[in-house]
Amino acid sequence: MNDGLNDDLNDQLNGSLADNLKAELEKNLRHECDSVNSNTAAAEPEVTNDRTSTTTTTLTLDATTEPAIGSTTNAVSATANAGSHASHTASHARPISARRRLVKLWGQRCLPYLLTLPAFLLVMGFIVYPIGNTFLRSFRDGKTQRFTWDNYRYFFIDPLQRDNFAFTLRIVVATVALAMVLGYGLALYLHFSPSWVSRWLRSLTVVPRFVPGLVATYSLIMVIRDAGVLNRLSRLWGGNFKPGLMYHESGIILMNLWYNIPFVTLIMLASLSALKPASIEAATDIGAGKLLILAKVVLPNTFKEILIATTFIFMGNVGSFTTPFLIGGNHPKMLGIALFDQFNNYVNYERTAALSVIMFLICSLSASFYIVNNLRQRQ
Amino acid sequence: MKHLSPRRIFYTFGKKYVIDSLIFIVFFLFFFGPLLNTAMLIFAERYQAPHLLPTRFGLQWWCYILGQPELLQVMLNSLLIALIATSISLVICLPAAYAVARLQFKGKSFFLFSFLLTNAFPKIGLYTAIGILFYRFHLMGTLTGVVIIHVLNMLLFMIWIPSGAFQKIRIQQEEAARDVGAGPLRTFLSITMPIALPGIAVAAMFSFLGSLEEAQGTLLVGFPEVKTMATSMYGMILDYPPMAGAVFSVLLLIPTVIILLVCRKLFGKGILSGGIMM
Repeated sequence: MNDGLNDDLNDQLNGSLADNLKAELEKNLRHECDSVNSNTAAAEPEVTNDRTSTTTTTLTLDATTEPAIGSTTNAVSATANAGSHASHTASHARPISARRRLVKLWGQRCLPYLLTLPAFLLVMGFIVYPIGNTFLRSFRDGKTQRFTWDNYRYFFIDPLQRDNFAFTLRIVVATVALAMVLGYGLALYLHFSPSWVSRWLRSLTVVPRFVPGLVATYSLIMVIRDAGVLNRLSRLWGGNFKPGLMYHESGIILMNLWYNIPFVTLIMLASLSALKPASIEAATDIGAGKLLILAKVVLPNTFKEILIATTFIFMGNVGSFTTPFLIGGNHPKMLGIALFDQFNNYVNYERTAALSVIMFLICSLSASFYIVNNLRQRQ
Repeated sequence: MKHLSPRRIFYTFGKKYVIDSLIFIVFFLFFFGPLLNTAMLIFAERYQAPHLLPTRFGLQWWCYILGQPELLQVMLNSLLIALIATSISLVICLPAAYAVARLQFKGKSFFLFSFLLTNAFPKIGLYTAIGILFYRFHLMGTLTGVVIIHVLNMLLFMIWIPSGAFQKIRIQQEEAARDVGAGPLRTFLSITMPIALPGIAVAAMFSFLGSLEEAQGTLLVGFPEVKTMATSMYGMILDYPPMAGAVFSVLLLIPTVIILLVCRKLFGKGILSGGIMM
């Protein structure tokens, strides 16, 4: 668990370990079958009945080596293809035990579906169905229930809504860029500069993840509001500095950075620790400078995590609600707030639906990178 | 003052030391300054504009906040919802996590894809989509509705982390148990489960904490009938004097700190870093 993201992802997402084990198991079994050891059948875990056990043993001994291996390994890894072949063979010998085996095989085949069914139903009922419903509803006229583009048109024509779009994109892009640069810089510093500072900072970067969003937002507001800590500090030196961050986009960006910089740093630290020091040494040996190493060795090797971090920050901030709700002004608003208004204050569900579909499309652009990447790793 | 001139410090301590310290100071002020300021405010009684430090200290605001009869109800609500939602998601997700980790079945990647979809759709958009349905089924403003929202938030987490934990268990360990005659259930309970427990505990812990601080979904679906500490915090920030917000922040933080400390004690230091990535 503590090996960090890279290890974690690798281990979780590809079942190569299981595959290796399976191959190893097969090798062992082949070895055992060659020496015609009756213990082979005992490796089959499904056998409880003594009589069936003997049948299987004889079957294994009689049959050629190939199907025997198939049936045993499959019983272990609970895939039933070649196993059904074995049961088929068994049905010639003893019809009753064959039926029992068949029931068991069915159980085995259905087991994964039974196990995943509750979660699957939950996702279907409360995620896929509502999203589908929203999608259909966004094309419907509220009164006549007929097909219409008006709900979408409203968001692209109304000047207030267009301001909201521009505002949101500006904030999100600024957040992503700043958080990536600062977070990555911090990670590079922590990784390559061993000192008491980096040791301390390493454990301190973890903390913001655990601070509830509302508490953090409240604390920052106390500092940046016009009568906040910054203002009071400036008065100590006789000035009267008003930060002007509240109800302004820079305040929202600042808050986003508070959350996202540690996130980027943690991901990048995990990624950097997977980077072999030898490759950097090799580059140094042939005379590459620091910048060149960064550009040619470090960046390409951590590219995958950069992609993941960017995607996460982008998606998280397009639909952010709490920060703009508390720090943002009345106009322009971020899309999350505009959506909340449509739902709660104007009670216009068709426009709510249209706006959430638009937000989804914006997010899915970046999400597709992430999902494709993730699924490729799993396989 | 001559000794404190920047150039003098720079040359006395060396370049590396100065840069290190500067980075540390900037980092600390940005990330922890606001939190420390809040920590100070909980003991303030009078905190008016020109003064950096409160002019009078005291526990007046604690009395005010704790004196509100509604608050106890709100805290209970929060804990209750978090507890129910975590247990439900454990029951629903652990079998699925095991299936994903250990069994091959058709539609596995579709199954995983649908979970990633949960995270790809903007949360607030998903909440409004569910809200529209909740109105139809009269779940708006009910405990059930809020719990459903919280369980949905836990899904990905509760499947991803435990399935990683299950995958790390060597398959031979389970097979050895089966070979000496243990049934599938017994193997699971006395071999698989104990080894995977730390991973499951981390997932449960993060889900519980996430549920405690979940605010926007509860606000959209449950407010004003179902109030949690997190949704009450919006009102605290917007409508009350700063000290009330500070006290309330600390109340919101207390369960988090307790749970983190307990988990660290039970499962060791490294346990936290695994879940942070999600």
